[in-house]
Amino acid sequence: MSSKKSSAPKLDKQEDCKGSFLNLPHEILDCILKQLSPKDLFMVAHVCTHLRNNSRSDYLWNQHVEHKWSKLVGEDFHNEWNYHIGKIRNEESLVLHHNQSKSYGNISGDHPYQRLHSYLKSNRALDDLIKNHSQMALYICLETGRFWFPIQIYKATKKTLYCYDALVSYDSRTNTFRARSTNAGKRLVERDIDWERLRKPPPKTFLVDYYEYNNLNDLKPGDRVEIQKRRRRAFPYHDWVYASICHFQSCDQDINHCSCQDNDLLNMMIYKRSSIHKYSMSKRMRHIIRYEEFNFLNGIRKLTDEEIGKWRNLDSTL
Amino acid sequence: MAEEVSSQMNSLSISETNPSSSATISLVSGDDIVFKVEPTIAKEMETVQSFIDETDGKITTIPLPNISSHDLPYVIEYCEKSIAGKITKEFEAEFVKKLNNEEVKELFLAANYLNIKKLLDFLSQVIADRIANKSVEYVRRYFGIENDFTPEEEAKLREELAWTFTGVDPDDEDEN
Repeated sequence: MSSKKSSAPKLDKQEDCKGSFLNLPHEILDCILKQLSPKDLFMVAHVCTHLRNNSRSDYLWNQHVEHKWSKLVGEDFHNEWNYHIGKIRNEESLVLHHNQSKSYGNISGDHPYQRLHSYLKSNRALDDLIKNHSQMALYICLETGRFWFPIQIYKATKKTLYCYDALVSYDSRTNTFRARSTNAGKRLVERDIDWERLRKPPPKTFLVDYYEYNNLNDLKPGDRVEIQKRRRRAFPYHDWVYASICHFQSCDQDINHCSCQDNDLLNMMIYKRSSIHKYSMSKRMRHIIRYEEFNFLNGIRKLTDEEIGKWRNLDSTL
Repeated sequence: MAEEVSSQMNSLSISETNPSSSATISLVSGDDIVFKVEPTIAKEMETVQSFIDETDGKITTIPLPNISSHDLPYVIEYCEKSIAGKITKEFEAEFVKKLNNEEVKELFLAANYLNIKKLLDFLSQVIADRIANKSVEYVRRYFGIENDFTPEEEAKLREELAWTFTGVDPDDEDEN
């Protein structure tokens, strides 16, 4: 059959309808395939070699990954996934002997402070898929919980609202997540975490020592922020604590005459249910060492309206 | 609805003595039945329109050897509704109710051949709905496709399926 893209009229006689479904250009076959659920795409792969090959395209599976997972898939996620793909492809070129089952990455490492790395449970057949049909493989790895990926988990205690870094894997039976994180050298395992408690880490916030926010001078009373707060001195993990910028006591808090924004000191209020905890810091003291003086503060992020909505929602539900 | 279609057919079929006027386009089906349509309808069919454009509008009789006189009225009906902006969920539901599996497939191929994007998208959804949640054997029969896998390929597919939607055990050997 002639190319679909051809501008010339294609009025030639085509083959008999029955056989010609398999002769359709793949983008026309895709019109049908893209309407199928993941389950049905797996089913048509078993029909014949032509449908098997066409049902595995990245184009088709990317839309399923997007549809279900885009909320949690961000830059860190892709970096980790690409790392695993690269590793599998490299191993291939080294002609290593594969075990039937193996894993990549390491949750704990040798040292208790070692960073969290994503983790992929694979096998030979899955390796083949990852190499040749990476989006389909990604969907499978997510759906079956084989891929532990970077995430941030919302947490509300009586004292604070905060987010922490973790690895999660999906449990399709319960539609919840399992999480692994580290606290003071101990590995924590949690279960039954709902979708609503997860977020993809905003850019440059996952496992960073110091978040550089360059526009501290723009912050004004009323702004909502997340403060990167070290859990313990000399311990490399941080939480992102929900807070707001507030007026100084000396300020008359008149929005038209407020002098707080000109002040070198930044006054912050960490939300607590029972009490209000205030911090102040100098805008000029940006270096990590100096922040530590302020109860392990490491960085500040100004929040978007969407992020603020999420925190408020969390506050009312947890 | 069936009556409506047949009355349309009557109004659309032309006598051979009446030569094509510039105001209408003649579509000739594979079995040599002529359907006269408004030029606006031809615009919906990209393949027909590009044929007209390439001949500077001089040729207004267009042979469509791949489309039967059984299928063409359905295509025309859909295009007319589309021009009138009357493609609704209700219309589509009624439209598809009249069609058996074989007709849906033929119309899909016709929509592809004539390059009618809307109809192609609609019929894609219809076909997808009709094979959703069905067995592999059903889909083979539906498309008239033979199983062409080697035993090795089949074994590999079965193996893949075994772990595809089976979750791994929680917190297993990688714990330590």
